[in-house]
Amino acid sequence: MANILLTTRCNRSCPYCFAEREMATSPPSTTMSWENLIYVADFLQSSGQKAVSLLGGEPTIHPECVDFILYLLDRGFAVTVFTNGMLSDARLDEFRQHLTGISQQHLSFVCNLNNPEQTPASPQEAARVNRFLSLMGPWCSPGFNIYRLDFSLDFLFQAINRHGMKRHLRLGIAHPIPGAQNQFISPRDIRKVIERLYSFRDQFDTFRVSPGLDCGFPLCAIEDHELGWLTRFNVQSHFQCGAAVDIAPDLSVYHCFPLSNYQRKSLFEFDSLQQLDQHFAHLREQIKAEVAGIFPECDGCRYQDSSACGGGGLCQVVSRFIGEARIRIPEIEDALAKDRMS
Amino acid sequence: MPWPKIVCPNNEALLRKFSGRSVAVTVNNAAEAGVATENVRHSGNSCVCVIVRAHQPLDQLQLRPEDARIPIALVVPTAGRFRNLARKIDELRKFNLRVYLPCDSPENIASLRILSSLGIETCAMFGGGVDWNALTDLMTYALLDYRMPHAPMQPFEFIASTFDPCSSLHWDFLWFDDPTHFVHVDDQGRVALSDAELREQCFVAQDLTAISDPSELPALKARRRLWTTHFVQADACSSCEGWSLCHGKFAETAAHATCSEFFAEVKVVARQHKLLAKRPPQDGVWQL
Repeated sequence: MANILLTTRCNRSCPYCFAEREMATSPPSTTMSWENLIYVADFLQSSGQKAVSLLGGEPTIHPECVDFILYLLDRGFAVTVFTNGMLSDARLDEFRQHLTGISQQHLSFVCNLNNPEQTPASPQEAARVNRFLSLMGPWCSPGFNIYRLDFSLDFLFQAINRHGMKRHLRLGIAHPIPGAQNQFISPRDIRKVIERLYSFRDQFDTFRVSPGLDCGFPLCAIEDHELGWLTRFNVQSHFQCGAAVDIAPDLSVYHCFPLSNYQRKSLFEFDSLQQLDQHFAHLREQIKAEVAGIFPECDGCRYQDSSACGGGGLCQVVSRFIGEARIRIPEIEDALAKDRMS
Repeated sequence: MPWPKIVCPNNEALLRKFSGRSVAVTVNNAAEAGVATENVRHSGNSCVCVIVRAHQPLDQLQLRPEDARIPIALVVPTAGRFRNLARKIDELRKFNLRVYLPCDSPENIASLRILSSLGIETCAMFGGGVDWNALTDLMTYALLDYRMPHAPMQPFEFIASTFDPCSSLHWDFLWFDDPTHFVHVDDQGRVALSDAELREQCFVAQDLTAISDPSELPALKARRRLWTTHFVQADACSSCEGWSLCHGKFAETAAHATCSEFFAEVKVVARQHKLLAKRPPQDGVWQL
């Protein structure tokens, strides 16, 4: 599925933000235009896509966010909006007026929530999120980015119950931006993350919530009994790092936020999403030819060989390059040099 | 020259003054389209279309479902906000209509593209003050973006489908602004050669009956000769690459270079459009 970035601005400043550099280097005025949106919609539809995700920055601060959602729905796409839920009163009114009549099969939200104790927000921000969830809860799955090992999920179960949210929790590791000092969870700590997650098993079962793992988790970090528990929810965990394909407002495309410096292209250079996927598959191959995965043991690992595991997140893999000798393919070296500079 | 079609208001008394004509009847309220058509028929004329000159944005208009088969030229100042329009898109698709939008703002230029991409036929109306670069993008989208089907956008579609590099092409009739195709009649029956001239009360006859052969009207003859002035004066239009498409139409209102580039580009795109249309369909994989 492709991600359409409506804006590079965000109204929140999460400590772990892996889109931070991309947003900082984009002009503040960069927002998706109608012309570009229609181009993207044509591009995706002609590639056979039936679903799109809207991201930012914070996509809901785009002045025409509601119009864009309605347009994409009219074009036949199922739309998922990734939001922090901090909507202004005016925007929330627009949502109430125009989006609450749309079926949850066609429109959904992933609302990224931070633990109010571990990542406190101002009372106004918290109230805004609360108002958003009160209105759009049934359309929302909660999302949670893990950036510390003592993370807690209790507040998410409460939020799911209180607001009637979808009973699926999307869990991601706060990805590092190669070269930036933001590696909150080191590869060796991913095992601890899984252990911690598994410790919430009773709550997941009690509240009938299914956990879903985003990209970046290596298979070997998960014990068999944990894997069995995850599998029982009928949630497919891929343990692969595939391209999300982010399409920026200026129609530049990149693999994902952490790797936005790497082989960034323009959408105009491609005829279809399949071509674009191939381009980024090539990038992955180039990187994986250098280092098999996030651990030295990934090289020769049977799970890698059988494609059951991708060796962790590509951004973590690239982070291993930093500080090493200049021996890699020029494009990656150039991007690494930029990372070092930044 | 055959008798031009008549553009006149929905006025029963006026319509009864002539019969056997082809009439494009104008109304200000979309809900009157059905009544206007009936009035034309009852007066013994045939209805070409109903021209709805609405003062409200498209998203505010109410069309009657029973008028779905009437050819409607819906002239609106703007499309309004998409959030309001979204509810009406399915309904609009059922109508036999073409939405006319002036290209006087970036919003309207975007709206033309939005409507076309959603399967609603449109017509761009532009004058000298238009953003020619934005119009070029719009025209390119209308004619060359084949990845997904979209509704025709006039006048580009007409220009591209009838373009001949060796001859002149007149397309003003799409805007009801060509006296060889349309003459305009006001409530009192007075005749003008264009809507603008009608509004300026610049009439060529006090009554349709006063015109036996429209091609002999001095004003029409003068208008048809108007193009020669560009060559007599040897102005920039006389040597312009886009001449065969615009005939100096924007000479007074546009900086020459801008409209010239646009029409030159239209010709390039129209040629590509023809080539693409001639391309044989590609074989499916199973035929290889």
